Amino acid sequence: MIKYILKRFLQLIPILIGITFLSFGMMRLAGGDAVTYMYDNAGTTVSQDIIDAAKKEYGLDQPFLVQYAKWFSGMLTGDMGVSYVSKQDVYESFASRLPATLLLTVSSLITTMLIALPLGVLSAVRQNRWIDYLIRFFSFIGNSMPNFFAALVLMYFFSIRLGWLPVITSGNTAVSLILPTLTLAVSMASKYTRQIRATVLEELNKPYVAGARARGVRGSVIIWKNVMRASMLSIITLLALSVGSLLGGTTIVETIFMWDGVGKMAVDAITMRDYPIIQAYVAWMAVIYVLVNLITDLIYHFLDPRVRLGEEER
Amino acid sequence: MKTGKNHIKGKLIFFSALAILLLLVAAFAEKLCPYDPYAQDLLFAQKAPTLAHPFGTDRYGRDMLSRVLVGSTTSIYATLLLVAIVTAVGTAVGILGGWYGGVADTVLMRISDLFLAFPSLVFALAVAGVLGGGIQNAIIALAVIGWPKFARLARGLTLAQKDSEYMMVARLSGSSVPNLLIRHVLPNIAGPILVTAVLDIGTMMMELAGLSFLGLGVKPPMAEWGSMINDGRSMLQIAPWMALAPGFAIFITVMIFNLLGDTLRDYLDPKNHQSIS
Repeated sequence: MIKYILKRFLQLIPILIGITFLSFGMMRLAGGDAVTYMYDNAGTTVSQDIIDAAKKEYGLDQPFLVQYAKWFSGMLTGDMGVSYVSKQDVYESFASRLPATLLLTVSSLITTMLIALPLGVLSAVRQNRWIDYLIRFFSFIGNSMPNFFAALVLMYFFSIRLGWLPVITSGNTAVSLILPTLTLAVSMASKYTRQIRATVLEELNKPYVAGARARGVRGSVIIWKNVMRASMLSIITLLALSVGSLLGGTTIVETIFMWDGVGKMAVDAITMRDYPIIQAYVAWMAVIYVLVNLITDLIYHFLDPRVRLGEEER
Repeated sequence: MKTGKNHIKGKLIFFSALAILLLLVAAFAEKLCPYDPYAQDLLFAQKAPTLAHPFGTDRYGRDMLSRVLVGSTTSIYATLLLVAIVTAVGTAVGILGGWYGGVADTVLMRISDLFLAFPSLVFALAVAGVLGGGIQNAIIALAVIGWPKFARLARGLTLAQKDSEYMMVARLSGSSVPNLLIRHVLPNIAGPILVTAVLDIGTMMMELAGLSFLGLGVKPPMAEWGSMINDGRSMLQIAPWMALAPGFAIFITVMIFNLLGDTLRDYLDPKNHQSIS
């Protein structure tokens, strides 16, 4: 088991190198140079000498591979350079944004499950009754709504019409958290409800359910003890994908609500061509990708005897 | 309740008609506009919806209905172009990979794994950020991350076809490989790919609008739904129709294409063929 985990961690290295190298190369090729852009942004025209000096300061005058090797070894030792724009340490400004994104990730996932689990099961158990049609109708609507539009609609009703909540993030974190969480939950819960409904329906048609019914086991016990357990695998796969993208920062939602997480940081960095920050962000995404996959596989291990036994045989 | 084939067919015709109507509106949007979508009239700025301006006017007094109509051309046709590109490229890669196998296949599939696992909008954002704004670059960015889904699908389907008996017969009778792939493999795997492509229209439209919304897609004053919503965002308190009108336009368009995709899937699903009532 430990060997397996170690092996998976070693796989992180080529993926990390591959992704960061690609993004590094892309930025050098197409991005032009950040220094000129920086001075253009400041609205000053400067002589070539100053530009060259600034390039030297950031190490942009060196060959591409040297730049990359320096950056990569720096990353491993926790030194990712300084932001071109704010001049802050990249590692620090990244770490300071992370808690906000983590908080939003946890709260939106919990809200999603609280909505989707009961609705999905209810919809499956009452298949083709009016309640099923109603739930499917709403989950279809949620699925067809871009989240920036959902955000604006929620904002319009709760903040502007009813005046219950602040429009953008205010001092009170708990209150500011509600709208971004709801926005994310609308689209995720719609997707989950559909998926849970489909999975539960599939399980309900299996012979063991009929067997349990015949033996007189109560319907609610079958659903919550047997069917849910069996449905867990596909739900966890979905959850893992969501966790991955949520930890990457929900760029649009964070931007709309001025939620100061890593997603908003990335958008700001992209518009300002703040390469060190973009690089750090890409590396972070690569790490999440591998870790989330690893954790999902481990959970499969514990939950599904078929996966567990299958691997021991090998 | 068993859904009969005739019922599904009726739904399919209905939703196809709706989709075609949308395409026609988008194609002739310029002619349908009641006002010039780019003409500014500051005297009429930020007017709430009235009979003369059903969707109100924006901060420069431009008619929102006309702008939403003109925006449909950009939004819908850019999305269709995007979906066509990713479908064609992905399918071609998938068929070739599945047919020939080997190292190239393995490498391609690893790459597509990576792309599939990444949250697509974030990655597109990075690509668009590197390439710079503009609708062309937004399409390129989304195409770069969009093809692997189709490559996966086409590869799996091709593998299944490759081992079938009819394929062996076709090979024995001396068909060339291009002939086999185009005449036999492609028609047999087209159904699921078409369904995925139609269902992808909605997702892609939302992502393209999302990029424009963040300022990385269409540049103003060109009318496009995502950038129009972004434009209206700051005015939500004073002139909510500025953001809500293009928002509903996206929402309804996405819904129509999603319904079409769902129905098409039901229609092509062999399970539903047995239940002809």
